[in-house]
Amino acid sequence: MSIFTASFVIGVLALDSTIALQMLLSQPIFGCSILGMVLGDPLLGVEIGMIMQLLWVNVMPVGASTFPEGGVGSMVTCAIVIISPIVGSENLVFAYAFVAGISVSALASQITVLDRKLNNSILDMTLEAAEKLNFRRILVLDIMGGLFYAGLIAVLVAIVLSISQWLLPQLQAQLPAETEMILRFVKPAVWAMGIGLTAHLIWNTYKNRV
Amino acid sequence: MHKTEHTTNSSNKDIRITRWDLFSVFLRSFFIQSVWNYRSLISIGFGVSLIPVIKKLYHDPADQRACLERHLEFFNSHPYMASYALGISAHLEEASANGDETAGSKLERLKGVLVGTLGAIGDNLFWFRIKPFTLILGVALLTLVSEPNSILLVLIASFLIYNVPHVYLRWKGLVDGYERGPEIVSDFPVEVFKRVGAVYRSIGVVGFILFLVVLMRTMGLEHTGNAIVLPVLTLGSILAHVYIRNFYLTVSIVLMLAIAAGYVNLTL
Repeated sequence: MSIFTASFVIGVLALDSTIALQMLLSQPIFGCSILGMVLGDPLLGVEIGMIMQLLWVNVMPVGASTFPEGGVGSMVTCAIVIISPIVGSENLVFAYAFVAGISVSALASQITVLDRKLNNSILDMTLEAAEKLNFRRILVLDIMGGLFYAGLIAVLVAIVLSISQWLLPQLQAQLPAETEMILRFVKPAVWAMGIGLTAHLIWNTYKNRV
Repeated sequence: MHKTEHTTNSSNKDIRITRWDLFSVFLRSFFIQSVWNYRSLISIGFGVSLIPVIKKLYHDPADQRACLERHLEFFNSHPYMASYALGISAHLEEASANGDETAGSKLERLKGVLVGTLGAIGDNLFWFRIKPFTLILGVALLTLVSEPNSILLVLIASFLIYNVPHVYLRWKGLVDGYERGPEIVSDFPVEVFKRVGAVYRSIGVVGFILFLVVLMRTMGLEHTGNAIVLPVLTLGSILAHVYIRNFYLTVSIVLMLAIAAGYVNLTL
């Protein structure tokens, strides 16, 4: 049930990235906080959102460019951590969730490209509807375009969360006990990456490179 | 200027767009990128946003069809700044519906000019300034609070800091574009936008410095190793980002460094 809920919420919030509203709801600090509330652990949601946010502040959804879907990836990280079936391996869960989230951000950007290609067909259908002056059909096609994207993202998230639910207990059982200690710096490393990328962004804005 | 609705006479002249029509366009403009495609970019969202205006201005199906097809042709813009183009289009379509035969050609020319102009202004103001620096400020403020109510307050404040100018600009662009028409193109308040961007950047930078101080203190207290690892990995990520210029490779390298640091810490 949690997987279904998380996939649905992430699918809907993903629309905010480029398709509808664009009010920052898909950004980690907001998206993960909302997801945390829905999944029953709002404070953990906020914490994961904060850690992940700085990684993506310099991602610009400009025009036709392909960019990592950091919001979706961060929400996946957040969902994995919150609904994790294992206890006592916090560093392992976070490291796994982070890698899964980063991977999803890359996969979701490819889904965005695929969706935009499929939208070429919706353009043809819209032009046909315009010729027949069918306003209702044009509106339905417009809504369908957005919903299709949300559906694709939700399916991707559901697959990743299902795999995680199965894989995390296996990893905990198979990996040596020292793994927790070895992975202890992963969370500081994510902060460090975010700080580095943000510092680079600030530097560029003062040099007028962006 | 055109704030009141006039009666429509039998020859379909003197039709005026009302504030309510503009509000309807405004609401639809939040979905302007819903069918972004590689052939006509945001044209479907643009055309759909203008449907209330099309229905209001034209009653002959042939005129409605022609107008709709005009606005389904290639168009691109920053999604928030597109409201200026929507307003100008409403202005010129109104003129055309009221008998101005030059309005159609003006519109075609103007939309071509607006593609580059609105995109550049919107990207610089929102994507490169207001958005990143609001998010940086949001993270900075969240590091300062721990009570659930305070956290909620910070989230709401950050949301408003971004969305008040965002929503205001969508509405103002639409209304100004409609009231002033093509003349607004030579009179965009670019200097005001630059000043607003600079204010957001200054606040964001102060927030970032504050955040660094709080984070170093908190993480150092958690574990002394963090006080060494955090600055080293930060430097590593900056260097990797500058020289490799690939986000995923940078992440992989820093992650491996963190695991190596954990292994060294274990063996010491």
